[in-house]
Amino acid sequence: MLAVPTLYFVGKLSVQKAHATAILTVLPLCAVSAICYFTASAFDWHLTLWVGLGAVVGGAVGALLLKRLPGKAITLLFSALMVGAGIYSIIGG
Amino acid sequence: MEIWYAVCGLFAGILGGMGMGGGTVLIPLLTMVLGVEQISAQATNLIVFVPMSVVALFLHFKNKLIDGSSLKPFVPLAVAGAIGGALLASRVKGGALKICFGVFLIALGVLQAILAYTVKESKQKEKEGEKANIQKKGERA
Repeated sequence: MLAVPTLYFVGKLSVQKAHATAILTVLPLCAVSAICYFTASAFDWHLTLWVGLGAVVGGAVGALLLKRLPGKAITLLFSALMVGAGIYSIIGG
Repeated sequence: MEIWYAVCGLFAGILGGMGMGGGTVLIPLLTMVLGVEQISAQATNLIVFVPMSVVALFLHFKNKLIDGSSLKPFVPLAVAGAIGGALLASRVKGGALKICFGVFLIALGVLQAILAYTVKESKQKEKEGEKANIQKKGERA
């Protein structure tokens, strides 16, 4: 979540490029963490398979949407998600 | 139940594919709505992010939206941030850390929305001003 504003405000990338490039920065971190969970057997195969199926289709849809949506709409949606995640972290996390 | 798991994955995947961190909604959806244990939800989130982001990155590369060269200056910054975060996490209580992070996210989200609006508006005004000047020059010529 912090990669996008950094790439946008500091790296001076466009909104779309900042969001797309942020995935590239998060992927190796996620892959390493996923291996840790994988080896620790802390996951549910059945759940992961079904969620993964939806997520892969959703990932393709999201990638196509990012190309088509205007930068302002993307930023507003992302800002709303950040505020929501912040509230969840304070009261529900 | 399986279909709801897939629906949650789809929703999170759309946000993840847009570079908005699908886990932000996937973990609360799985734990609060579908009653999945926190540890399973976290593990699932990290594991499904890998194939999802590979598919999304393939399309982003195809659409020329990846700027790998701009990442280089941020690598030392990210490493320093990760070390600093890990040290901070070990010294500060979990609850306090979550509240601090929550406040930080809210502030950053609001600031980002305000800045995006003001920057775009000022850029638009500059462009409009430039267009008006060009028109004026054309009329004079």
